[in-house]
Amino acid sequence: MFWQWWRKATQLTHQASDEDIIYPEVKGTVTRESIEEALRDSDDALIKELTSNGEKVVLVYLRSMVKKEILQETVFDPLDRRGDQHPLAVLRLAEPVADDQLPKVLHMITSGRTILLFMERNLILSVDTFSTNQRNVTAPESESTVLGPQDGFTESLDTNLGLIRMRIHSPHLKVKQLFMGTETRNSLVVVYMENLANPENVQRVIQRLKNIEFSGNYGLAVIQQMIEDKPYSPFPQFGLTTRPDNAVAALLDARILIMAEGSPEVSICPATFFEMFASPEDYYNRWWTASLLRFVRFGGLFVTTLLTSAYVAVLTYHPEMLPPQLLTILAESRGKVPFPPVIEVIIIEMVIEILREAGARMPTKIGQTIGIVGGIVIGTAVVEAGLASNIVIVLVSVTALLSFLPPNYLMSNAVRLVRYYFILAAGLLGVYGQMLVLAFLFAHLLNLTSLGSPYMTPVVPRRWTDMANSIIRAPMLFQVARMGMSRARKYLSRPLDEE
Amino acid sequence: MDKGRFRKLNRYHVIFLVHQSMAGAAVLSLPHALSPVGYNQWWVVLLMGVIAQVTLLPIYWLCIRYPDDDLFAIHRKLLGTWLGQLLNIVLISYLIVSVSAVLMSYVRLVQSVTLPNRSIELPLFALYIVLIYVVLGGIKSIARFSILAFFFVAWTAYYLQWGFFKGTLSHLFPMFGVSYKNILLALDNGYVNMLGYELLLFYFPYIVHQRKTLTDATIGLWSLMLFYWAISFVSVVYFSEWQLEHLTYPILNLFKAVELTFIERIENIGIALWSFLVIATVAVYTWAAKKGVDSLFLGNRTWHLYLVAIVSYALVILPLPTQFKDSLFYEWGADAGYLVILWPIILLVIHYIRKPKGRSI
Repeated sequence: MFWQWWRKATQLTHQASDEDIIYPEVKGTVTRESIEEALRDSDDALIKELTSNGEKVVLVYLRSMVKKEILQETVFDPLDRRGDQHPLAVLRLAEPVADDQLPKVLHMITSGRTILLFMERNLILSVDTFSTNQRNVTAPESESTVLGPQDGFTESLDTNLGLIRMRIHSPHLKVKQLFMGTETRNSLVVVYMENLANPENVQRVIQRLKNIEFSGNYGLAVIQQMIEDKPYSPFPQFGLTTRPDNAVAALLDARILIMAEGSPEVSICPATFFEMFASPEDYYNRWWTASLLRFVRFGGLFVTTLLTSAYVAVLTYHPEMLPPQLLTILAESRGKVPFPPVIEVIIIEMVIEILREAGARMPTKIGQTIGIVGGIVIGTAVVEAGLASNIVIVLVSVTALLSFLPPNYLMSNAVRLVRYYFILAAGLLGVYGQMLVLAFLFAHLLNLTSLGSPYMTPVVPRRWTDMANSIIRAPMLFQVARMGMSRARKYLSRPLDEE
Repeated sequence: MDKGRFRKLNRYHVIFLVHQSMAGAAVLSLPHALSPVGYNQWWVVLLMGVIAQVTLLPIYWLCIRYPDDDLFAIHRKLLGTWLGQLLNIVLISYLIVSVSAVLMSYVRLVQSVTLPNRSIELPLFALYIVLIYVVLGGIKSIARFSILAFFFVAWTAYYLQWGFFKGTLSHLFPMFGVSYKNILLALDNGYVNMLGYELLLFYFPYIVHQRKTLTDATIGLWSLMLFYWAISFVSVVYFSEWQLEHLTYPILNLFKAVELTFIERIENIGIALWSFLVIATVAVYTWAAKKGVDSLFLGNRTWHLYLVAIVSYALVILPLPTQFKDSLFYEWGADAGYLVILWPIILLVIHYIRKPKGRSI
């Protein structure tokens, strides 16, 4: 019963083509009446009549998407100064549209263009007048670096493409546009280097994007979840970045980018597990420091998943594993605590999770207060009241700090989730339980793929050269090849020999 | 799970599959099993390697004559449907018993060392969940897991140094003062550790470079022999002959020799880490058994895997007499394993007698 309903609900009803998705339900010829009919009850739609050189012109645009100054400059002024010239001669940016394409015309209006109907000539022109207020290019907040470029993607697709084009002046950079969303009909682009990217991968991305059917997107991270290989996994299988330098590095490594209108994030596919722990700053640093930092981030993954659960396991099942001095300290610290270790740890972990969530949703000023109240006041009070031991507070804070190390926000969330499995398993079966969960985790990660390439490269490598840019960041001298994961058309990234 | 029969195991996969399908829970008692030869066991281990190398040849020869068939299909082709299917059932039960045997001895050990207050059911159940998940990914997933498990556990060999430096080197001499009877006895006891390479008969159709399989399997075999040799060498140095004979799990005592300042009783971690090796080993057996059920019912279904898992779980859990279980798992299981290793020789003979028509090899 349920499965039948689920299959029916998730079945693809039809394969929509690019043209189809633009108002497939509206049919008819473009006339003043048909446009009025389609736009009725949209009070920001303006339909104006004016005369230019004795000719009647009907003007249609959305007030909310077009600024008056732009309209004045691009439409009114040329029409006024036109004399007896043909409209196309003065409206340089205008494009003629056939009169049977009502859906296309409506899409143009709703995406901020102005439509001019020259009633006597049977001529329809569309002028790009789109001009709404937009955020300026600012430094990305979620992926800030000390060195390197300080610009970040914004919500405007054209700006974002410009930021990439600014760095890659090459005709090989291809931008394939798709229209997505049965209701929103906004555009989404797939960007790749034609001479590098694996054509099969490009095809696969485009095919997957075309296969999804949904009413509209409000963020690229949502679309990303629809086209990932294993949607039930807690781990993100595509990279997500807000930095142009990161995106360009990915393009040069033969990856494919997905960008959407209204999203400051850019999706990188395919991506590996290890890249989630790499920051663009690694390349601006010297290789020694960069390798150390990468190692810390990656080692942090193990510590953050194993530390608190090891506390639970050792105290519950194997106290004899600790040297006597350490055991004495722990016993003293836990003297007043009434709960078993597993409950104690889970409570404190949850408190930290709550503080983080509360701090993230509050305005900055209140958020700081929450941090101080939560961290210092509640922390001290809990220990003094005997609800948790000092050591648990220390361990949980360390694991919380470590879980924020991965530059990829989605990955850091996944790591925090996984930690709870370890704690529960340690509470049930001690160190043995921990290792079983670890084995399960590894098996899961080994099973994951990103666009069909194994996610855990280079641990289970495709190529040995991948090692130069994984847990360590080798000197630039040794980084001669593209990652095996991206299956690039050109294997070497530097012309070392004739390939 | 493996949909369609694609060649997907590359050479690294084969090396580590051979290596990891042999290293199971039995290693933990390897020096004990070889104790009939006393201090001579460090070279008797190498003898096992030589025997394995020799018996590997007929397995490879049989496989290379049937590059697209696993042992179940070979049985059907060579012996006819009825006899073949009958043999396949026996073979499947051998594989399932092996799974149960390895898991039972491991979980019993876990229970006695790290979880003394727990019954065996829950730890075993948890182990089966992980096992099923690994096998669900198909043979390539198992191979990848084997590679990871190797690197995750191999570093513990470093801990052998404590045992080596605390021991007495003079235990190594005099060499070769041992009777043939005792050597045979030790081989019979210890050769259980070598079981696993016969699984090549089942995953051979999935190997890409089939002609190089013999080389890869040999590399896998002898890299494992290096570990076995190191373990038995250090055991000879560290233990007395009486200890070798009476300690059931000498490796645990070797772990106990480790002295670190911040942690004690390192064998707790060692045993838990061993779960990686055990899962890697058992996963190949479970996968092969699942393939057997597939060939029995002529269809690739996921529930065949659950069936295999449930049967082997039940074999461990069911309240059968302990004596029966022990003889089933450790005596019959091992003997059946020896038979499976020698079986390809007979199959090769049958192959040449009734040489199927249209086959050039």
